[in-house]
Amino acid sequence: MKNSWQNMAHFMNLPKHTSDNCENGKCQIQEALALLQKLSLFRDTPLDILKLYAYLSKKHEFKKGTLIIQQGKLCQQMYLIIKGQVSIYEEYNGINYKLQQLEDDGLNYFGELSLLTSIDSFFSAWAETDVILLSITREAFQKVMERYPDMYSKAIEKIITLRIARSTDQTRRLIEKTSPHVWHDSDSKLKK
Amino acid sequence: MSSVFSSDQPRLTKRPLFYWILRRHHGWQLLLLVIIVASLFFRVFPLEMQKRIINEAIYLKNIELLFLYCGLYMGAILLAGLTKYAINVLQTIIGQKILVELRTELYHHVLQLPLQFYRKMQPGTVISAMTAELNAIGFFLGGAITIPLTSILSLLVFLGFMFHLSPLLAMLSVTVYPFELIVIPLLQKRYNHYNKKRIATTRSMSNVVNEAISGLQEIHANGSYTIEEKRLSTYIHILYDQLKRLFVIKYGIKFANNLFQSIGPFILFLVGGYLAIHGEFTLGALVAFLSAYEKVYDPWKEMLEYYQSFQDAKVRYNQIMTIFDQKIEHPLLPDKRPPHHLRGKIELKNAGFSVGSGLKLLDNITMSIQPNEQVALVGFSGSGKSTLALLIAQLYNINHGLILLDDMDIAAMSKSDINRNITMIAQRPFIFTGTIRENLLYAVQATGEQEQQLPERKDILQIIQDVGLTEDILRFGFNTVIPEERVKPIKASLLRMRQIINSELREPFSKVVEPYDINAFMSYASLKSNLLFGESLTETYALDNLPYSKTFRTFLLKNKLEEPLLKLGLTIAQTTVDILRNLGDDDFFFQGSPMEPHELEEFIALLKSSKGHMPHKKSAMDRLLHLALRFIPAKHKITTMSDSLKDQILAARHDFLKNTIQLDMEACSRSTQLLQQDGAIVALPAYEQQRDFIPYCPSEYLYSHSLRDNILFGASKQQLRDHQDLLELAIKAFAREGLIDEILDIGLDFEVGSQGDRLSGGQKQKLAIARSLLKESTILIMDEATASLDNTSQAQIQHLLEKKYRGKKTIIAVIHRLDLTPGYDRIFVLKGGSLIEQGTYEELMAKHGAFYELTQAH
Repeated sequence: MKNSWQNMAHFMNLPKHTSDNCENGKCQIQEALALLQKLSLFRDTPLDILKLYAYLSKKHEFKKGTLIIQQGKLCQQMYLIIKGQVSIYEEYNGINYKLQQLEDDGLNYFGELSLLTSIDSFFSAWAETDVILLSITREAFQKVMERYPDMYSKAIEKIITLRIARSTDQTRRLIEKTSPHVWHDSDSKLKK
Repeated sequence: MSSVFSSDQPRLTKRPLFYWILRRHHGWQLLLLVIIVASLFFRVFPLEMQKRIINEAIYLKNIELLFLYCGLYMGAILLAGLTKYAINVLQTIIGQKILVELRTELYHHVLQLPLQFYRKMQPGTVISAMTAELNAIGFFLGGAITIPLTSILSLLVFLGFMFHLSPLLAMLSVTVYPFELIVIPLLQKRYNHYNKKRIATTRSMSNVVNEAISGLQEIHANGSYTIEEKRLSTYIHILYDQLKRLFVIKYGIKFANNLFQSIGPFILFLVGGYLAIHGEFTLGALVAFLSAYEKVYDPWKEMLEYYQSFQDAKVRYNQIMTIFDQKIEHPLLPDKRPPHHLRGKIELKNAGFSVGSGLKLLDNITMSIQPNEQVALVGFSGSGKSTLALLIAQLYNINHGLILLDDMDIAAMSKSDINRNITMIAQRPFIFTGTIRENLLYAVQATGEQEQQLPERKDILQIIQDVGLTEDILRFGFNTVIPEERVKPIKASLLRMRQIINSELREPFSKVVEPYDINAFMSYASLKSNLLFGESLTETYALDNLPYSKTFRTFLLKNKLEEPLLKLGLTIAQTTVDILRNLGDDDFFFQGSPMEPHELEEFIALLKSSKGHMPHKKSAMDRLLHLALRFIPAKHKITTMSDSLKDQILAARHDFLKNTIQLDMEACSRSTQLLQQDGAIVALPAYEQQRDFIPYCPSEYLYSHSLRDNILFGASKQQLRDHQDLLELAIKAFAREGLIDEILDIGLDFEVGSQGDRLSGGQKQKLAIARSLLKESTILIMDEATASLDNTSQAQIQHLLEKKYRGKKTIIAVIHRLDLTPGYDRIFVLKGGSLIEQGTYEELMAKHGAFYELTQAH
């Protein structure tokens, strides 16, 4: 007993330093928080909430050429790209059209609409390279929003505004390609 | 047993209360009487001594006499006390013995009462009658004979003593008693009146509560709390009112008693004092007289109390007996013959059934069912098809016509004739508290223990398979923590399953489990498991004890782990409090932290008092250590552990296993490798000494874990139940080596909970069907027995009846779903209590009659 008291004495006055145990590589939460803070989707979100998101988020790794989200399957989370490239495809009449290519440099994300409602995904997402993603589930988002109901409408607004921007982006991309020869750009590897 | 329930006794509910008291235990009661008479002597004797101490010893100034009389006085008092003690104990014993009989016989009667009786009876009434109300009577029963006897005898003895001292004084002091004899019974009558009302109110109250609790789902769903509260509050207020009056009278009686008691001494002092002054009465006699007067009051009081409790018990007893006063319709056993063995022929001749108000539920039904025929009863709801089924099962009794089983009148049959030949499956069957196995064997065991052998394991498992319960039972088996003695005979099989998962199926199962490996840090196991790599069967290494264990703390210090673990605990506490401070009411947020929601407040206070630094208090540090030991690196995102700490923990584990447990690490390590390569699992040598500790080595069964954990043998990454494909893979592999039966056998011992509340509706139904099929009766009656099952299960049961039991049982099925009817030999169609059509499915369809219409309506 006495021993342990003496032993304790030399470090009990250390200043508070939450990342003590994270010497080897950063703490997962802090790493996630840093990423979320940079995201335009969360620009106006208070730090408290961001911390919660960071804590509740999960890290995923996908190998190059694997499917991340399959069109028509229930999608329960939004993904944030930490590393690698992801392309978004939409299948129409049996042909897959590439809508977007998301890089890691621009802090890209996808699946944000699944935060709002439980829907079957209307697009597929593929890993173009080896990919590291951070996910936030709809359950987590909803649970957090239950706690901050006044933030909810703002969050929805933000998600929709960004969604419109993304749609505009995607439409532009399609319009640019609207010439008959572009259509077989659709990747045959996507057909099942 | 037979002597207790023999038929020459009056009907149970007609017996008077004293029947129970006088019938048995004569020897005990005689013994009690002897002790009582003896005790009387020891109670009078001290009075005589009092007189002599004053009149002889003190008056004559004789010390020797004083010592003698005082000694005798004390001795008698002691013996009086001891006999009184013996009387109390004996009384209670006799009372409780009588109560046991009363309760046993009453329950026997209550269980046999016809179903109709319970339609009108609230369970609350029966429960309160069988328990609390009988208890109150039991208290009275023991002293029922002896108390009045003692009281009268002692009253006479003391009165006699008083007359012996002074007839005049004695006469004077008993003059008050007649007044009491008038006043007190009057008050008592009022008391009885309110007491009767109180019992009725209490019963109504327990019925209301009982109903509310049974219908809690409805109450929650409707938010009808106020309605229910109002319902009870009416009774609460009535009860308050009645109890108030009851106690006013009760204390009125007490007051009257006390008043009369104190009038006595007043007369005594007045008259006795006058006589003593005039030398007509000795002082010693006066003292003895006063004592005697006081003593005489005790038996008097006892008699009054006896009178009260007798009245009380009588009221209660009669109330109980009145509610159960109903004739039992069919005797349990047949008279002078063994129970029938029926072939399964059923005939109804102009059978009718009507309820109290004359409403005819069934009218003039005539039908005939041949042995081994399978028939369906169909009709609109309210057509009487379920009632008909109940009548054939003798659960209800027809009012008109006849029901013949094998040409014999059902009305003349005993319960055991029916039970042996007919099995009925209700729409909402009842599942009893106990294991699945006990519930399965319930029906078989009930029908004559001697006659039918208990089914063998393979028969039970076959039935389970037949009704489609195998998968559920397997799941129960996987979840069972098997007791040590049960593991021993099948340990080899269980370890074989472990090996299959860890070698052959290692790759697919890596999704859900991180295998135990003595040489690897395990990300999905807690730090405690990582450190100790095993567990004790006793509490020695229980998580909650570790922070306070001196040996464990020394071990941590030696391995330089105390400081980093405390720091880790502090970081976890700080971060959790920081992020989740206001979220303590939702488990969801705590999935990433070893802290439990209910601990949040405590840790907030802990950090506050230490100002966010490492606390000084030992108790606070213990809490932090406790927190750190629960940390699971891969699951708890709240913080990240450094690799160097992981290495340190691994080293400490090896130190612990080697030096504290003295485990043969080489053997464990080799065994782990062999497990993966599907080699023979090597038992640990020289391990017998440390039987208390079980390391995570392949040869060891982990007794505190479920079977599933033991088979998976590792830290869980994800729930196995979310991976149906893996489960099927494993089951297929186990079945190949015939290991499945062991798991099923264990699953059969799953405790189903009170009324089977740990089972789903479908599981209960299937269990009930299996239970009925295990009892191999000739006639099976199913009252929409598969209605609550899904389509696949329903079809499976239907197929089973049509194939396996064709030609073996007469089956009567009340069916709602008409698409199941083509499988039956004949169909009976009921409407408004009458039989309107019968024939094969084809005939009825071709006829385009009522049955055809029913099928079209669907």
